[in-house]
Amino acid sequence: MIRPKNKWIVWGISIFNALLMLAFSLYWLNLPYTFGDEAFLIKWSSLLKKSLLQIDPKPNPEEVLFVDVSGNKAVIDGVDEFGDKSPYNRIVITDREQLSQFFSLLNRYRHEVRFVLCDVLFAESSPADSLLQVKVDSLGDKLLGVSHLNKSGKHTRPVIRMPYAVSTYNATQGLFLKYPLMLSDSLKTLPLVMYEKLNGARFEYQKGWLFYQINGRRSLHAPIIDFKLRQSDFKVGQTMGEANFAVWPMGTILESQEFMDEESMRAFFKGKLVVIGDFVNDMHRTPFEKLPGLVLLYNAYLTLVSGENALSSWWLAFLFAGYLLLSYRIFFDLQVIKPAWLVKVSRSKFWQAVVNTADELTILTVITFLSYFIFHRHINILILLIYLKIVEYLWKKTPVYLQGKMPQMFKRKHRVTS
Amino acid sequence: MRNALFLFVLLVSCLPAISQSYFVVSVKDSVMVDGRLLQKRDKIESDAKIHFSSKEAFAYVMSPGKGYYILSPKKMKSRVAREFVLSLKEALLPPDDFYATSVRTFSEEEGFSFPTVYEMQAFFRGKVLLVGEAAFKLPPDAFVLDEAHYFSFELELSDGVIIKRGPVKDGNLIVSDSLRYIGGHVLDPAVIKSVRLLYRDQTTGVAQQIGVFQLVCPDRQLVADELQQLYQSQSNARPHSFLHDHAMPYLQTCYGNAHPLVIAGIIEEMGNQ
Repeated sequence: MIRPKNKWIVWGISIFNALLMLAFSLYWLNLPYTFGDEAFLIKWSSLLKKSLLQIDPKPNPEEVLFVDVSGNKAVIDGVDEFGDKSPYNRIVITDREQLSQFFSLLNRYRHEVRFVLCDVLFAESSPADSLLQVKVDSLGDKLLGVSHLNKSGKHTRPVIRMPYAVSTYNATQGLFLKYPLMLSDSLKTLPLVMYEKLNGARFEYQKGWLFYQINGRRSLHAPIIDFKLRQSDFKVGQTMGEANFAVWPMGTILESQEFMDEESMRAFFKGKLVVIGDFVNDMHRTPFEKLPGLVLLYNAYLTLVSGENALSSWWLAFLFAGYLLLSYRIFFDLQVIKPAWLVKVSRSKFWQAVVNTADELTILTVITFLSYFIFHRHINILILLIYLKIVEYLWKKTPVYLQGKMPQMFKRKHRVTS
Repeated sequence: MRNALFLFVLLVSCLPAISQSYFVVSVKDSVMVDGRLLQKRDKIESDAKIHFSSKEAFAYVMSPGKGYYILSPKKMKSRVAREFVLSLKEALLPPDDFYATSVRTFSEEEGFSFPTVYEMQAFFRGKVLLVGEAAFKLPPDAFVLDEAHYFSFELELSDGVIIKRGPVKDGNLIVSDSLRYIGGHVLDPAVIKSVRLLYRDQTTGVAQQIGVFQLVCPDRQLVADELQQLYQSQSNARPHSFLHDHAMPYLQTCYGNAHPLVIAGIIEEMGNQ
């Protein structure tokens, strides 16, 4: 129990601690990667909301055309150890002749197409590059290509001249959870550039700023991505007329020119965001399942479109309230009555510690679920549990706590020591 | 068909306001549209009346801009509703797979294998030499093989196409002379313009093309004689390296891609003689 005269001090400490927790949360959310353990909560909160409760708004399938180039591969000579092209080193690349044919088709319907995202890295030169370059030039600003950034900071740009943005994310143990909006403090990543181009978003950032500004609103550096589009959304329809997300092999679209009329061919592209990539070889581990790279990019773009990267005042207030509750619990030594049967399972210190942690874990889990269900934002929460336990341990060593807990003993001890 | 169950589906009721066209990707059994038999690449208008010859019959169609559809008298299960249950099942019973910690390489004892689909695609293109039954080890985990998923060879003749199922035994795709047997007759390779190897998914109707190649079927004895001459002309040839150093490059140039084990068999027969 806290002595009345210390109450205001403890309230002050609680508020300070809640603010500190909020600052930690925002710092962790700003990191370009996240802790793998968070994947469990992210996965199950998403599944509960999307699959079980069916709160799962989807983008319009008729607004996007996913084009799969996994069946359109060619082999070129690679570079040997001496730095020369050698037929003994073969590299598999996307067939650029066929890609040129597809780009010709895109040029034919240039005015119908909304935007083209080509998630194919043109890292090596090939004999068909000049042909592809002509088609790429014709698409102009409607096209966006990709570049890669590796661990050592080497930036691999496309050998074809085209507008491009970095298509790289950071991850712990290869598990995709977040997409940074910028890398190396100067390189805008692809979802952000897409958002700027397609939605006319205004992005501002200066070195030293804690947050980015998008359309005048503060934004996290690397939001946790909400998987609005997953493998299960790509399905074969049974009711004619309803639109479904589909993966179109590039060969099928090219071949369709032979038997489809002009109106049907136009329907492929009309008002579409054309997303070209590999649906077989470019797979990434996510909390749900393995997803193709271009679906990750599309989900990251959708996260920006729905504003789930922004720092909303209500969300911050909610987090603060949740953290204040946890702080109040610790600093006012509020003991939650645990079921007797649970406490009696074992007398060991370890088990008692586990039981004492259970209620904090429950509150943190409720906070993360509510944050996602109400504000559509995932947060890093499990790491806070470790922080809380350290704070609790230290608090129980402080004079303010000891004075309230055992006033007589504290007084005696105090007298002796003084 | 006497016992054919004719099912009738009127699509007018589920029509959108704007007329939409559908193109047939594949058909199972007989599906009739406005009195005509549905074929691949046919166009169906959204007000078409469709008859299915059996409960199992379906038409797999695509609509540009809208997606793929399966038109069937049977209702198929939705994957979305099962997502939560499947995740729960995976959490309780995580999937268990085998992973090899070494790379397989070719040796005459272990057969001829394709580590990935790309090697398979590279083999089944251009010219392919067939001089006996050849077993090709399929890339691991690349193909599901059951009743609904299988390989098929489409032999393109000047007057039509013959489709033959590609037999798979112990994870090996078997390519043999039976590919050319039609109704008790053997097709002359010259009649076969090209062969298309496809991996089919009967449930969705999707066919993944592995490769298109020309089948080269010379007499086995003729190939053996040529290899005999080649061996004699190469005075420095070591018997154990003859296959890879001389025979395979020679056959590759003259006839096309060949199965090393089949050629090794011919060389062994040469040695016995």
